[in-house]
Amino acid sequence: MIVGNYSLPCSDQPISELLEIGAAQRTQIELKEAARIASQLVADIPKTDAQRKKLLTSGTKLADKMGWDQVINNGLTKLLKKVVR
Amino acid sequence: MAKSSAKQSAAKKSSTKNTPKAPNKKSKSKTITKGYTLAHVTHEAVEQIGGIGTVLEGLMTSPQYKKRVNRSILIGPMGANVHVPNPSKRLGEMGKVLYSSIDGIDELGLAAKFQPIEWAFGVSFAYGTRHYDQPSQNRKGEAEVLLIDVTTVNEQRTNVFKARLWEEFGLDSARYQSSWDYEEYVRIAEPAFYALNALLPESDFPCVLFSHEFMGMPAALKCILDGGEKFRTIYHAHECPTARRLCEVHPGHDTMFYSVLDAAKAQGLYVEDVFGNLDDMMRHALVKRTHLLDGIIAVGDRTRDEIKFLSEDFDDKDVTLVYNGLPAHQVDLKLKNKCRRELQEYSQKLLGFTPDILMTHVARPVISKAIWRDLQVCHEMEPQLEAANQKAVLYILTSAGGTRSKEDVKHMFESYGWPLHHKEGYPDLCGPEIGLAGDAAQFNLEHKYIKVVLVNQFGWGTDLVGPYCPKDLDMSALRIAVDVEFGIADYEPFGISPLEPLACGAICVISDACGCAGFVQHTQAVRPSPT
Repeated sequence: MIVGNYSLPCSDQPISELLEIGAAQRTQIELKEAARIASQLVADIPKTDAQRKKLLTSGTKLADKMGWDQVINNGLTKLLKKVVR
Repeated sequence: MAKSSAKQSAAKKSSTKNTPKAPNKKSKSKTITKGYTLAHVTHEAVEQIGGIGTVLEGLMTSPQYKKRVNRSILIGPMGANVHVPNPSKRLGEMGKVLYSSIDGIDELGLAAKFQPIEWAFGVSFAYGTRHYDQPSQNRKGEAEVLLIDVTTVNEQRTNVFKARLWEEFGLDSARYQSSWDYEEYVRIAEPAFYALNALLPESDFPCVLFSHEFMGMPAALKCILDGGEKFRTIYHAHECPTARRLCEVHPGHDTMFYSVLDAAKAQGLYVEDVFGNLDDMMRHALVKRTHLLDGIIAVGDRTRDEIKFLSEDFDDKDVTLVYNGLPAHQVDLKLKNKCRRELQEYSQKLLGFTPDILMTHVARPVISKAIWRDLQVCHEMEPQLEAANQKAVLYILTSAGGTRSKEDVKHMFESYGWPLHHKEGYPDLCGPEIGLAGDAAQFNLEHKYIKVVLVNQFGWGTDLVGPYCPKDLDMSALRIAVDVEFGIADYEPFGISPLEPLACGAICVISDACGCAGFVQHTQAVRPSPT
């Protein structure tokens, strides 16, 4: 997975200045991120069956931990217990 | 109470920690051993329109949910279902009608309980069950459903309820009179509350009422007012509407909004301190009162921050992260390669070359999906692909015009080579598709090693995208085939769609605004991204 970062990291700028961020500054950040994402993509996209299999295995392993059963066990059930007691 | 003093009282109630609370339910604790009773107020009770329907399907079909929940009752407006000619379809294609006053059906002898409520509020009930089926996951589920027709309500009663919302919570319904979204869910609140009281035996209480987004808030407020020990309330934030609007309408989008949010948080400021009063927005007015409920769920880390940003009333309120679940896929390399070959074959016929890299973006054509960012990335890929002598294709699968028919697809394909080429006007381009097609065409003029194809269709398959498509290459196979899935949205509370191909060995490209990013980070350390 590749995550693009489009907000400013913990800026010291006053809020009044941050509110002035418009299309031009956003586009500047987008273009910088586009270059980074593109390079990472071209490097990471599997080119062989072995690379493809590796990505399949890691993706499946990760997705298996992100199913509804886990979400219900880890989050929803705890909240229900707290609310109904 | 005079209006001026009521307003003062309400303002105090809605903006300070002196808000009215439900009776102290914890003092009379009750151990739940039989399973929970949950009521979900939603506009997706019988049909899947968007994300909430997907979430409900995921919940209802999960063995873990079924193990813990005894009864699930989905409540929503009857809407267009009031007009279905076949009474057996009143609760949708997956529904079974057990009671319907419109159709004179009463298989469980509920009329004695339901009719007094229907008469008192001028509404009609349709009650029954609905089935959930996920064959790809080998999962099934069932829920009770209550649809309420509120087109001809007893206005006097509705106005009394609105007056109570004003007096107790400072919620000014008069301001949102022209919003049917608001009116419909205010009208549903009291009949839903009394229907649950009529339907559930004492042993099934307490009932936990979920407000899915703003829609269930009037019903939740009714439970707080009159539910006593019998009800608990949870707000399920599938998004924060205040943040969505601020993000979408401002030209700085997420770059402005999240930078401001982070800075304001550090300074102890809240959304209305920074952006001014936002009560013109009905959804904001409802959601900023969710601190009154017993619990709040956020589907992502950003959504949790956005809810906390609403006001100081949320400072001491726990907002529980409950991410959306991902569907499981069992894909092996053989299947992956088969699907890749089929998509390459389709691409070769359509584009005249066989792409080495297959990319998709499956999304609604709305500004928050920030599809222009896909093109920015593709532009940056071009020289690198040229250097490596590789070619790529990006299919943007989106539709503002629903599903184009088989006949329309055939005609557009044969007449002018759709979906590589387009014409304005239905059955081809409509609404936001026009701009996207223009961007794709311009991109293709300027790039040789990477091409972008706008497929303005709902779904994938031979009948849906034309005869070049191999017969086995359906939507599911498309998700398996891809190497890259884009979802670099500027507002995306969770984002199931961009993560779906993850288990199929695709690289998912998302943004830091996406709630699913936090889920992945919490599940497994993600590759750090330099800022």
